[in-house]
Amino acid sequence: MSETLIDVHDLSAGYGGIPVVRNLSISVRAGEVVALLGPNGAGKTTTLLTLSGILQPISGRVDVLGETVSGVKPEKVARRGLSHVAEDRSLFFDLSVKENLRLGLRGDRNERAASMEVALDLFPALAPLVDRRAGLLSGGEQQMLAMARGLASRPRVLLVDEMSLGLAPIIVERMLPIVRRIADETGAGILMVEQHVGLALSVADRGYVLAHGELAMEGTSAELRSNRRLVEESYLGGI
Amino acid sequence: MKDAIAFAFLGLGAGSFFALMATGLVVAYKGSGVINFAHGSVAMYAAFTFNYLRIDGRLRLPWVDILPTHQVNLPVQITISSGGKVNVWLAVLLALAMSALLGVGMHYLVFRPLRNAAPLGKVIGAIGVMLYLQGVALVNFGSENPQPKSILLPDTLFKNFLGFGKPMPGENLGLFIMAVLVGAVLWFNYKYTRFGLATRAAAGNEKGAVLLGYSPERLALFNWIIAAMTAGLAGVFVGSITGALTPTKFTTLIVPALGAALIGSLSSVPIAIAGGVGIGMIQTVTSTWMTGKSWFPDWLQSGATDAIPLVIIVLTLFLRGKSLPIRGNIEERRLPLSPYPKRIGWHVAILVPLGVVLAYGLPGDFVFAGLSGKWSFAFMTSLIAAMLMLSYVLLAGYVGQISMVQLSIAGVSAFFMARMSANGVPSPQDPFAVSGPGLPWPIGATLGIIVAIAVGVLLGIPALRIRGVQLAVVTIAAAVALQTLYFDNSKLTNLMAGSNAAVPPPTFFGVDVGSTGPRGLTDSPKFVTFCVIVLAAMCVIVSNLRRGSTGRRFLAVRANERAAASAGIDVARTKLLAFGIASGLAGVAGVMTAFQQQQISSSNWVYFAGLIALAFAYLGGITSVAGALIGGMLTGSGLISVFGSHQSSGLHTYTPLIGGVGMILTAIIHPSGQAMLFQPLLQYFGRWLKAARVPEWLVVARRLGPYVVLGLALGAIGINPWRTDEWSRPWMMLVGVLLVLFVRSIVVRIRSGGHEPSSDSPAEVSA
Amino acid sequence: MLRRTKTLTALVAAFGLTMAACGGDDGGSSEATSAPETTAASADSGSTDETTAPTDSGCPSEPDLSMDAELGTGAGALEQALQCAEASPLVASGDPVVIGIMNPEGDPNGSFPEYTVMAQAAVDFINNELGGIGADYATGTPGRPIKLEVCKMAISPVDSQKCANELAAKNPLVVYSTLNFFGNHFPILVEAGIPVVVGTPISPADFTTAGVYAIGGGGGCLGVHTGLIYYATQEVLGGTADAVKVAVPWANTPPGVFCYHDLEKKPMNVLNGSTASSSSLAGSMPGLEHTGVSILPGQADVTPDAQKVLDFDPDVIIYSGQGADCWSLVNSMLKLGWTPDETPLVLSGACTDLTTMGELGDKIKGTYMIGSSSILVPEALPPGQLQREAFVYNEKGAQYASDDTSVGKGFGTQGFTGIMAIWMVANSIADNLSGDGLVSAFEATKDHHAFAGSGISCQDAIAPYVAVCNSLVSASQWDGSQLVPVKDDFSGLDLVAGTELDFGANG
Repeated sequence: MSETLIDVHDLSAGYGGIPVVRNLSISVRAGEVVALLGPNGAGKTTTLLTLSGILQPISGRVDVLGETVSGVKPEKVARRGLSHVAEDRSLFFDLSVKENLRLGLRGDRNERAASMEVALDLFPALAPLVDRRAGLLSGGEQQMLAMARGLASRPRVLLVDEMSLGLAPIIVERMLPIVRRIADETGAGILMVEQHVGLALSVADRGYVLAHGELAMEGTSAELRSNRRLVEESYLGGI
Repeated sequence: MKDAIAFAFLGLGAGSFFALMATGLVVAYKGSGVINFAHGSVAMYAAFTFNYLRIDGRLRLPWVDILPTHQVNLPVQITISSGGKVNVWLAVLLALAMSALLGVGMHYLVFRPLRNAAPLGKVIGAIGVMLYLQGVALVNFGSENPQPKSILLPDTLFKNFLGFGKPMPGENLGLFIMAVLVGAVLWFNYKYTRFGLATRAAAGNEKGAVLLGYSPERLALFNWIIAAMTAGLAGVFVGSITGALTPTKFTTLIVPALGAALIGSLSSVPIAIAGGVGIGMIQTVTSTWMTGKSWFPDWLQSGATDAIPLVIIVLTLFLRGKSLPIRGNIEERRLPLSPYPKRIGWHVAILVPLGVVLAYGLPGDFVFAGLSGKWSFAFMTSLIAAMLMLSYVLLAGYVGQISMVQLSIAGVSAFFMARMSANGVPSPQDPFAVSGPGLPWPIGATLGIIVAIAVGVLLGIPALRIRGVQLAVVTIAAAVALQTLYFDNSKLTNLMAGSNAAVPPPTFFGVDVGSTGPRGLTDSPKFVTFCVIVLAAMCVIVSNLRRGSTGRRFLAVRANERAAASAGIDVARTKLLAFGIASGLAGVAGVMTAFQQQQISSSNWVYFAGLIALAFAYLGGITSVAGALIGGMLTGSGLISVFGSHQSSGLHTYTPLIGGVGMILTAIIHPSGQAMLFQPLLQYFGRWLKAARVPEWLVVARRLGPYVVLGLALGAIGINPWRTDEWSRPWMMLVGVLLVLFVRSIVVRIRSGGHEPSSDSPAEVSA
Repeated sequence: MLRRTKTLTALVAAFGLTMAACGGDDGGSSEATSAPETTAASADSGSTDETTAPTDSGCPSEPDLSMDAELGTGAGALEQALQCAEASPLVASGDPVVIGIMNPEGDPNGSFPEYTVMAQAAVDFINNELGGIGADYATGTPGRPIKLEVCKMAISPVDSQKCANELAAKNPLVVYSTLNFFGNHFPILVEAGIPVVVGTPISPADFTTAGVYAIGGGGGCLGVHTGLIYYATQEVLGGTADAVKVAVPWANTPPGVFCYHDLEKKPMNVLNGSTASSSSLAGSMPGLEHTGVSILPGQADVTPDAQKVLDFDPDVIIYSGQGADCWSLVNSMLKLGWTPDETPLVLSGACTDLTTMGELGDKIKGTYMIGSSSILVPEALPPGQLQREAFVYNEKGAQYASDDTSVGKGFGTQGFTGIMAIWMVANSIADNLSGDGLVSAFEATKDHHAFAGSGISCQDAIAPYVAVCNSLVSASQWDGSQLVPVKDDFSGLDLVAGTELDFGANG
């Protein structure tokens, strides 16, 4: 039984005191890829923001890497070993690809050099672009950069928000295996928010379906794939 | 031509100063998104620290001993060298350490608490820091104003520098080299080090930096320290060529530095340095070489130097305005709520007669025994200040435009009216009469207001492309330029140098309503009534604007310009309308000031006073008409400050200090200003009085009673040593009660997590 | 516990020291003993003053009027009062006479608390030793005490009027306006029938307003600037008719424009004949060429302006600046290679800053300073009545001042001597003190002796400068380590006689 990296129990989270997510309980173990599915406004991004500490939970227990995130500054949570690739990618547009990556590195000199190599290995398409300003990259290249940067710190927990957003399917297909590789090779726990159910379930081990802020369904990806119709209904508000 | 270039080289001294200051401004902005208007004061304090270490070997800490007792004292001075002078390089080190300390203080005490505040809040915070440092410098260093000491190469001289025929003092060259070196070091830092990269990253996308594990606050702290230390360097090294050290030194020199920082787009240190040096050289060539040429226009002779930074700032912002970095914080609170005015009729019906009663009562002795002259004058000052505050309320409170130039616009209208009313006939009161058409005062005043509106709209044009703090920078530059180009320029005003422009008193159908009362003092009840009526009318106008569709358009533009545009609001029209109306209000304030003082000069409209006026408007409550009224009472020489200084003359030296701290506290804790604090109170009180029965009285008595008693005791005993007369004891107790209740309100707010009271009860508030 | 013990020890020590200090006085001469530290003590000694036998300088029963001929009206009476005070101090009693004083304090833009501190010291001296206003030393009858009402103002036009209103409401006999850049307080006070005495005249209103009497500072830029021109052209350049060049850097502030154009440029134009004047020196220096270099306040660097001055290749440089701003220009000139040997420099007395000058030492040796004689270092003055009065100032000023530093400041001397001047003039109408009476008394002054000053002569005021009652200045020269007086009590006012006011409107 591998270590539980993310342990959320009965979480209510939202903005200005108004909960967007209610009574949510999810978990992610080491080496797992877990998909967080659901329609727009279901509360997926809110959940991720709470996990990384940017939003404070209204109630409930949220433990990341063994410690709570309630009342903890997001930068501290990040330094524990969590990487959050946000929906808007949060790239530094004025800095070059190399500089963006550099900011993601952790550890001493050797470790950082090694991590940089690994990141570029994972996304070889970035190698010729290292000196280009991030703002000038194409959508796919930007997403790759965001992922590479998130991985540059060798995180133990990776949160990815809408990786496929605005990307051509072929590019997404190329990036998905990398997610699987990370989980398998490094033992990181990965929580992916996705609207593309099929794509997400193709690499995920398990999945949760959120609807209207509450957990509508959960199960292994095999279970969810076979219950496709139920998943769709939850998207359209049936459940 | 050769001469011009030679003079340009001589401008390297001033240019290096601007360059160093600009560097600090850029670094501060990169680190925390704040344009620090107090930057010059940091340089000033460092310069004072250094020079006094060299004079008497004592290090003054940046605070004063507020403990009233003589036994227990806050340490304010540390004697480093009891022999007198401290070694030069040790003194430099200590001065830089002091700057670093100031940087730490600014971060933790002012700008970190303000990190989520609206841009106006940060501006007020910076003004508060400036006032505070000036006040501390005055108390700690006295008014000696020593000549600063030179450090770098004071005795070297390069004759015939580079062959252009003029010498170059080694010191100026040394300063230039130092500025370049500092620039190089900082350029390297921000380009290649992790800290520098992280700073640039956080400036571009704070959330991204946070998610990578960087603490924006840590980054801000270190950048503040760097920024403050560059200011310290500027003050200590370049201070020697800038002349006498006074607490208000460098406040005007911040404008060219701002221009240079903007040339550097608030992000590139090397370009800012080049900009600063460039501005210094251009200013020097203009003031020494060009003014001697016959083709140089007469009326520009004295104002050209100050006009240059304004032109540069406007051009830079216009051409590059869209690409300037506006830092997006993770969670930025908007300006405080602007309450919907209700029941304005009732307020007018009650307050206007009250005003008239005071108008007639204050000069008489029944309210304040034997001290009439000053209360009437203070009341007048408060009323007229409130008129100016309305201008700020409308522009900054309703439309979100930070304009520092409203006082100057008031000046334009006052000067114009004075000129229109002048008829060139000297009198004992006015021996240096200006020539003019001698128009009757209503026409003169109207013309003055119209000109003010025109100037205001003109100055509003940059606002179409420039937003937030950048607009503040433009308006400061404009205020400085107006001062030297117009008010001080006798070629344009035709005023005899140093003499004031006389203003004949207004009359209504033959009745003299001028400010001079029967005893020759400025306490005429008719004038006060005039002011009350004018102010009431202005309040009604502003209130109705707020209630109507114009007000809604204003607020929409304030909230989100793009959204407003997409909702069909003509943003440009709305902004210009706002500038126009606000300038009209300011124009009225200017005209009334002229009537009150009966003679005006450029000193009435110094740009620094404009900054303070904005700060008081904020203190009072920048988003409501009531706030303007309270701001007027609070302003210097207004009712409350005169009352305060009457009670305790010992506090006089500490006024800038208290003002500065008050501004910072208000920006942090009560961003809506005092109006929002007292207004619901007063309002509750009114309705409550009508409805309350004994049980309610008991509840309140139990809740507030102990505090009231504490306040009475505090007033009677604690504040007692500062009172001036026997009869002020009861007033002291009242002050004590107010103070205790105020502190209690702050504590309650902090405990409740800082939620705006108005957001909890929006329906309760009114004008 | 420890802290309280320390506090207690401190208190005991302080008490002990005070006792020791007070007790020590008894060991001195009989005159010194009777000089009281506190009001209470003086009340005791005052009531028995008649019984104290006079020693060397006793209390003369009549003023020595021969002094008046030489030193000005009232000199004898003053000396009598001083001697009587030394012999047996007379404490004033009766209805206080209110004198108002308005002074900028607490404003970072400019704060001069020493003015009021020393004014209060003078009032205390007058009340505790000189017997107040209208004392009769022959019979030992005390006069009325003075009550000083202080109004502190910020440097803004509003505050200036605020203080005028505040003080006027207290019905003072006279208001002492120390330093005021605006002049907008005069109409209020004059309308209220209150005479105004100006200590340090700055704005044109200080020179030209009726009912106002500027008694100090060598008449501000009126006396000092004309004095500068006079000294530079007549003494330094010898009044020669040959071709000579004078460079005049000047502070370009609103009053500065007037002070330059009317009181520096115009006199020089009178000297070289381009401006008509009834002066005796009109046209006496036809070869005089001059230029002005305007220096804007708050500049980052005055080096370019200094270069402009030196570019003119002048034979003498004249500069009147505000305090340490003078030295900023001088430093820049020094850096650019100027030496006082090559081109003499004449500065206004307001530039005096012994610390800075001490540091510059020989580098500025030979520089002249024109202004009113400083009484801060009595030993440096030539022996005479001025020196004697300077000693009195330093002793009594230090004794009665509420702090230690004000007595040693230039504005402090003005505060003290200004009150003394008012007291002297008020004494002449002591039986009928009124605002109008004081006005007449001031207007009538001609060569009236001023305490530690150069006299009050309101009769000598030339239109339109009707308020200037003192425009005598003296010259001293820096010898590398101290200021040496070189010329006493002269005035350059004649240079502007019969000319029109020039405000620089025509460039």
